[in-house]
Amino acid sequence: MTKIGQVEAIMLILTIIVTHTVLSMPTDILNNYKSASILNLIYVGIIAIIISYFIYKLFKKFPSMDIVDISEFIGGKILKNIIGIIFICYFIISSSLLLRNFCESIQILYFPMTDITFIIALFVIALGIVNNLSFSASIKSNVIILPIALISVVFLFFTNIGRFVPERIFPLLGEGAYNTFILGLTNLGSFGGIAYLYFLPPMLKDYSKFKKICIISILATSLYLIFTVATLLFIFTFFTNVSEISPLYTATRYIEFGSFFQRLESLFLLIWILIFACYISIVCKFSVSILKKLTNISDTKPLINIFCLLIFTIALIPKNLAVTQFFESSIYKYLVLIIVLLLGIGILIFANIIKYRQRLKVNVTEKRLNV
Amino acid sequence: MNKWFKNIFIFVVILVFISAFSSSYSSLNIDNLTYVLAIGIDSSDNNNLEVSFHFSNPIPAESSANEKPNPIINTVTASSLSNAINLVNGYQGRQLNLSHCKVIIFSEEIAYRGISDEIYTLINDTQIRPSANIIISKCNAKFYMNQVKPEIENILSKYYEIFAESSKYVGHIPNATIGDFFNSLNCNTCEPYAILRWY
Repeated sequence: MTKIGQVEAIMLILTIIVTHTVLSMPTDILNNYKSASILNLIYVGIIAIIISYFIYKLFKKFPSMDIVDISEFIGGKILKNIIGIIFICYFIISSSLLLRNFCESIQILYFPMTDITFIIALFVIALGIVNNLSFSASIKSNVIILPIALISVVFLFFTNIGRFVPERIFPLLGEGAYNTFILGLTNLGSFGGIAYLYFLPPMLKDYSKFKKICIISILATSLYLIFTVATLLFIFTFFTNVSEISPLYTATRYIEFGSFFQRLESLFLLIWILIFACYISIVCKFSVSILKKLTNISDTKPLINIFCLLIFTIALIPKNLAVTQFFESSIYKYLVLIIVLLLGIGILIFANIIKYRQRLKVNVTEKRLNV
Repeated sequence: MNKWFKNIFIFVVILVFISAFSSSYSSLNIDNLTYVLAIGIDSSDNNNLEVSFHFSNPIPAESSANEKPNPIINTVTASSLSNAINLVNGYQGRQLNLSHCKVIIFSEEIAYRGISDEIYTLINDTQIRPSANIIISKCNAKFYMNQVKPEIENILSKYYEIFAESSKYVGHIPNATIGDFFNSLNCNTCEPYAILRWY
């Protein structure tokens, strides 16, 4: 298996959040928490960093094992298969519907007469080609493209700074402390990148860097989220009843340097298309590697084509943009909370308890032997 | 044989994609579009709107630089702005494109009635730019559009683009864009404003 370094791993986790912020995630955050969005993100970000550190601690006793191996340790092959399939379904369904959502936006903006099938097919073909190459190819291209995407968001922030109304941060608690801090905990669903932390340990060149990767990637994710949401919060009032097209795209339309540099949104969209291609290739690679573990297949190349077709087919299931946006804003967040946070951490805690009991038993028998 | 099959397959896939994307290409082709420079909205009978579209009129290559083209203004009556756009698209050979629309003019009468519905329609249109200016005309919007004949600017689109720029050095005119107007419309502590003009 191709091993990845610290920077590549952090970039990989960040890619997940970048693709989600391009679509409706920032709008949902703004609509739910209003002027307290930034405060909520700081609060949720701190909790997410604590969770990622907790995940690192739980993984400490299982170096170079991922969550599928750990499930096998707890419940044998049955649990291993169940957990593996749950994570494959989560990765494939969430990425397919996200892809559909993004393709719908592209269709509205640039290809009004083209059937959505062909736009999705273009991404799936790119996915097939990249995944037939080695994993390092998609990881390296991600390392090149992601910084450009991050710079583009920073650029978006600074070019719109003249339009900012910082007073929009008030009232600080938005719709109240209960909404911001208690109901706001559901916003942990924005940190879907945590799911990939569960599969990173066996992929790392140097396992000792896992702690750094966990903390830095989630910290960077929080900062990125704060940056994007702040940009939108300071420029716009609220996104209620406004265009359902990507909110960041709407923000790019405000960038103007005199009458010469205008309409830079196409450039931003190009960057986002590239980062989307990277995202689905990473998701596909993770899904293939999980299935490889479950089935002990030596050659994964035929599987890649099957996963490409699966993503393509699932992306075609929703009837329209409203269905995909419903998934994005109402279901995805809870999927992350249930599968990634509750199930994932639950398995890790359970595995640690078993490991602790095993160690206790060994210590007791050793003591008896010594006596 | 395998290589041949692969090459033929790639060729067929490319052909299919070319044909699939050609329809979008031709619909967005500059030859098939007509660009709207300004939209004028007046009130009409039975709560209808009288919507006027000011089209770009390129100066023929053989005409002299001082020759000013006559404005092309089409007016339709419809229940909403979207219906008006559809109506014009229905009888005009070319598809309407609002991506170069610089000015949206509302008559004073309709402004008193409230223009939030029209603003929502326009802001949700992906072609309209947030930098388009909003004018409230004391006279009829269509009459205003007919009267716009800048003396020192030959290109009308440029005039529409730069006339609000004077807000940077003169205090008599604000730079009231549809983006700012919409933001203020949704803000509890702001008041939307527009440029007041008349002829």
